[in-house]
Amino acid sequence: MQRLTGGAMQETWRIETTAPPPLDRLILRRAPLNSEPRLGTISLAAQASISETARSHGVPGPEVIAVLNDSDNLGDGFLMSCVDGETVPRRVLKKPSLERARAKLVGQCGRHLATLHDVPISSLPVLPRISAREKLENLHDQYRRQQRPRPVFDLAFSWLQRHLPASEPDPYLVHGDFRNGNLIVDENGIAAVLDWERAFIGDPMFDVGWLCVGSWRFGEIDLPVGGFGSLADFITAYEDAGGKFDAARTRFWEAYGILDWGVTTVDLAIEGRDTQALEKAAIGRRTTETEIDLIRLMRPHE
Amino acid sequence: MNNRSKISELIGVVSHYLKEELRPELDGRHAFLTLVASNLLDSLARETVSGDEAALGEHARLRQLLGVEGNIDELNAELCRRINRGELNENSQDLMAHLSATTLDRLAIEQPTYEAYGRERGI
Repeated sequence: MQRLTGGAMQETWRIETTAPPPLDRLILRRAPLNSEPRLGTISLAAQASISETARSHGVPGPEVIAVLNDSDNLGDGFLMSCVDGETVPRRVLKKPSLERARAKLVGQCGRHLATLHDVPISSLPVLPRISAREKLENLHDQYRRQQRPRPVFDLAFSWLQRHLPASEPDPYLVHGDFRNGNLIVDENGIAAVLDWERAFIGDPMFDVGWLCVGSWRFGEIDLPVGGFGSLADFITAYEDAGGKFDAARTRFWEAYGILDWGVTTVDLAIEGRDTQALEKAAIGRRTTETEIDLIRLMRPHE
Repeated sequence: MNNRSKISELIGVVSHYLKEELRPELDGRHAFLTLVASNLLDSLARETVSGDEAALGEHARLRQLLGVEGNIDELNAELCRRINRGELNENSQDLMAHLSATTLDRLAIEQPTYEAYGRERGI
């Protein structure tokens, strides 16, 4: 057994067995015993169930082999097949062997998002239904609890309140964390969509806005969709696969996403200093990158 | 050479050791964390040299923008209040100029390699 890096709250283990394929190499995702799901996240059993349902509709993902239950005494979690490929964002964007795959990523993002947004809600486990207004209020509460006023964040909250969608769109399945880093990429492009921890029922444009957040472009600033493609190419693929794109709501959710990540970096930095955890403490040096991205998004165009 | 430059140079020596000498000897998680530590130290070295100047600039701009006196925390709290009351928003060029200058001065210390930083500074 080997613990893989990544995943601050949930553990990921690679397990090698003597069983025949595909059981010879497994991935275990689990939460520590007696831990409650973090605010805004769903149980690992629910994640396994959504991943399987989405896979049956054509969204690539690992095969869920088993879901842990109380008698296992291993905590909340599930076992899945091991999908080969790259997940480290900068390697996805730079690795020479993935050059042909990269050209396909933006189209695959459009197609897979349209497919997962179309998964019937009735076929899924019960998920929180969250409106744009509730998302914004929850984030505002998280920010107020920090008691660290940052004028750019206050301006962003004000901007978001003034740009709330006029009416709540029809609800769909939303992945909640669809971005470079939660995708396994091989020579053919996206081999698996991972990490349904933040799935909810709401505005599907959340996933598009989140995918465009500057911090998830990993230096490829002029390729807004994940650092690998243009919005125009994304829209074409999304609409060809039956999705209904909305530019104003996407911009709202991109601003929301930048602010969400910015507020989160402040929490992680505080936690890192409290627990002497270097990686989390260093994330505090990334809060200002979200501030410049918010300023660039909100600044009126001449 | 003043004391700050000396501190900054010493931090740089430690950072260089971590990145260039220790990291190649390590694998996986610790190689990665050594790089994180080195980058963090580099930002602290820049903080030592230009942190006070950035704060002075921010404080002076806040006094000018708000037209009141107070320490930097008090003035930032007042600025947040005015934004929340809707008295200032993104259509105020003075507000945006202040926020942009303050954020860029901090980015110069914390993360000068972020692409949007270079784009905004025109470099």
